[in-house]
Amino acid sequence: MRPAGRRLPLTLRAGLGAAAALLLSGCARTGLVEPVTPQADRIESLYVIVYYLAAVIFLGVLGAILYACVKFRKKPGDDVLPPQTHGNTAAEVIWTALPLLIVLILFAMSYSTLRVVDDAKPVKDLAAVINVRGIQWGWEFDYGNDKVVAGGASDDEAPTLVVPVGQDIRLVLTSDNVIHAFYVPQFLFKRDIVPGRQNQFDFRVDIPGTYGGQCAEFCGTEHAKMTFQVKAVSREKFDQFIEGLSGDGCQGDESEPSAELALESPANQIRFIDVASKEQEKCLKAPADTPVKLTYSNGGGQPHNVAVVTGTASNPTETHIGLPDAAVIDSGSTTYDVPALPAGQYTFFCQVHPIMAGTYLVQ
Amino acid sequence: MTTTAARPAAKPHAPQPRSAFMDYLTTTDHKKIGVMYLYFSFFAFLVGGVLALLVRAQLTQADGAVFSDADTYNQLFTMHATSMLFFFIIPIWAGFGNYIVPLQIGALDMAFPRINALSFWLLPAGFITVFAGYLTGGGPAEAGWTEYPTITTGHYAGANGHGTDLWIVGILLVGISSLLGAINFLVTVFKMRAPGMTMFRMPMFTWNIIVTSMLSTLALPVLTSALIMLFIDRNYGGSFFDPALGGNAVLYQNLFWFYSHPAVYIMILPAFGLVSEVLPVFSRKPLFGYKAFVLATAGIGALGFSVWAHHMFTTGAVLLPFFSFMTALIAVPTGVKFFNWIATMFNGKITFETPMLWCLGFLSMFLIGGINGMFSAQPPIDYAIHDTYWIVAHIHYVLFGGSVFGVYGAFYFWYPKITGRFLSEKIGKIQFWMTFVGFNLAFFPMHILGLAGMPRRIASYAADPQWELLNQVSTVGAFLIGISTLPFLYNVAVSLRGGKQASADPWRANSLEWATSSPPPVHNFDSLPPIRSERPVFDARLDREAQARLKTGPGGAAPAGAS
Repeated sequence: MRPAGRRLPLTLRAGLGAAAALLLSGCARTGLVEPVTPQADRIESLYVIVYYLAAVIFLGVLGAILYACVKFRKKPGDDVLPPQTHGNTAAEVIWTALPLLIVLILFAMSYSTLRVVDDAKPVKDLAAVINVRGIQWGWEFDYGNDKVVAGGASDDEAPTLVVPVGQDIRLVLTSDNVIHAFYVPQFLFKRDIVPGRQNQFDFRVDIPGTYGGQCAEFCGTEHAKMTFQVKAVSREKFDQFIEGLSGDGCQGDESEPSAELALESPANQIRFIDVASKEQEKCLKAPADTPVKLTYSNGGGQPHNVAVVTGTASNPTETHIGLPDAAVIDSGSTTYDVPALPAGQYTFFCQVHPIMAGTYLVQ
Repeated sequence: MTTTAARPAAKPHAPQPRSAFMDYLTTTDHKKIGVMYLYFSFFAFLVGGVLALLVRAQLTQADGAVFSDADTYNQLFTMHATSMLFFFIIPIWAGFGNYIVPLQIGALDMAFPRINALSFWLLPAGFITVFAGYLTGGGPAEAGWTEYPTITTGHYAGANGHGTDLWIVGILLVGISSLLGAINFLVTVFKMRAPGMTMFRMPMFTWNIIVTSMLSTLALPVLTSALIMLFIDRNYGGSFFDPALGGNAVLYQNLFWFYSHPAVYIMILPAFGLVSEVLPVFSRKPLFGYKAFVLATAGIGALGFSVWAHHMFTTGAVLLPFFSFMTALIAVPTGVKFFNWIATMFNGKITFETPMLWCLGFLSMFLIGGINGMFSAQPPIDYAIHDTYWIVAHIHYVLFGGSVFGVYGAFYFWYPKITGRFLSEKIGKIQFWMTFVGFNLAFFPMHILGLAGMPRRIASYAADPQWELLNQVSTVGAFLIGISTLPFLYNVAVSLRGGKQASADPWRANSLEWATSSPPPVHNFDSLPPIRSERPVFDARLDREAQARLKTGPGGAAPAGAS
């Protein structure tokens, strides 16, 4: 009907052909990162099957569209109405059954893969059960017995989760704040860390190495910087690593106990620093059986407070100062009265950001 | 069914003719309301587009090229999606539906013209409310268009400003608009069809609007209640969603997706309808398997209610095999549609005017959006690609490659009906190819980024040169898409006065909207052709041509197989 009708199939073919070529070129490499766990190997196998199935369907359907465009384009001057076919029941039954068949086969494959990937081992077969806590914005990897590695967006280096290579590990994922997701691309796996739920998954890293990971569920301002690393090392090195975790921030700290302590946090940051050195503060020392005045100043931008507890920040057994008395301040400075405590090791931390924690040593 | 009873005599004092401005402000004419919908939604498309370009600009460098403040970026992608989904794609189809559906069924107007006007005016109200967040101290909503608690409950860092409250209220307004519109469409179609227009003679676009409206009617109350609960949690000490107070964070996700998954079909089904109108016209054949199309559309709508949790495979809180199977099952009716579309073109005499071009673009791009959805439907693969850029690629191949290509197709197809003039074919083709190339440049690399492990919704990413390059390619594509809207705007503006004049039936089409003048009179039809099939205008044209041949004598080739 309109004269422009003839030239277009060619340009159309060129454009869509380019898309097809793009997909074909992908055949050499399916694009997935190298899997490092047996669970990820299973996922990759399923992915590869779906990938080639997808390629066949894409090229087949696109081919049919292009064929129709080229073969059945209107010739100039041909104004006769083509045959008015309204349908063909047999054909329609066939192309209803065909996708249904593919769906059923895919489901069977996907279900068997899912059972392997989500298989939970008996606890006695696990080399370690590690508690992972998502924090705004950072991570706490808790190996039990107060052996905790924590770090976050404001640290120079991402916190590292160390695991023994070739052994089954369980991660228990919890959050007492917002939803996060534990995601390691080379595990081909992520699982949400949902407050109020205890999610977990088992895995085994077969290839020693360090693998990057990060939070995959939007969790606020510094979501993009909520990264971590998984380091798979030999069992001996793993044991040494656990041995080396003291759970004590005061190792190597030479300062004297004082009844007047000071702490501050820089503007917009999630960490405590020493007032004099401006270094990250991990240890406060107080004299035994003496009330302590703890002066805290907040540079602004993030609400913080300081709590002192027996136990850890994530698992306090007794709170000595804390909410509501140790009020959260948005900026400026305040003084907290820490009651007299018997000698021993305590924890100080910010109750808005439990990742801001250190050892409160009473001597 | 039509009102032919004698009307009361003309009123003694006829109203003064109103200015065009007052006319549009007070109109209850479905055509004028439809046009206002189109203007408004396209404006929201441009706003959402500018926000998208800022998002893309930020990602040209690993550490963020534009905004050092992550909150600003988080607000951008949140408002981009909000504008595109709630204020562009859903309402623009309501706009085309408003204009076209009463015409396609031979009705005078929508069933409830004043409610129809209310539906429209709630939209700009909602838009202003949501975007008023930019005037508050904390900025607008910033937790993504899904606004998942617990970050939005107001008890944790982030999303604590009034922007999120305004967002909730604005989306509630849009929801009411959408619900009123849906009920209006349903009543219109069920009660106001012209004599002879049985359900199985209705055009496919109208069928798709029916199914869309049913989805809205059933799903919107659930979203509305979720949003109200969230508002109570934020402002009145509620504890629906915060586990620290005894709530359940996953509950919101279930409620949200119970609406928002069907909402994907609300966004894409009208495009299916448009394609099912355009392919037969430009292939000069009837739609292949009309009843199969109706069943497939209803099937997609029904299945759409049993798949919401496939957005939640990684929460550990849903029954994976069930939702995975139901999700994959949607491929069956969708596959039927694809085969029937292609069969419609087979043995046809295809011409490649712009509406057809956009529909072919739709077929090829939505095909990718369907196929990459096949990956995410398998929970083990979804574990790898969920919340990565793969998903961003998937939604854009569905909603841009699908819905937006359909929207442009609808503009080029119905512009002559609405204005009485054609859009320029030449500019249209330039625009199509710019958009097509830009679209694939922008969104194809996101598949690779997602597989490589780049999560979505991050203001900065790992300093990997390959990631940076792919992001830059994507940004170039996005700006090409942005530029491609300029020839379209120019085309629409210039063709309004200077376009080639269009007759009542300029495409030699099939459905009733082409039986009246272009543009149609206020009362829509001076007379209706007899409706004896799903192609009344085709039948009437065939009749006319046969009559003409009888008059000029025998000799012309008889058209084969008239319906």
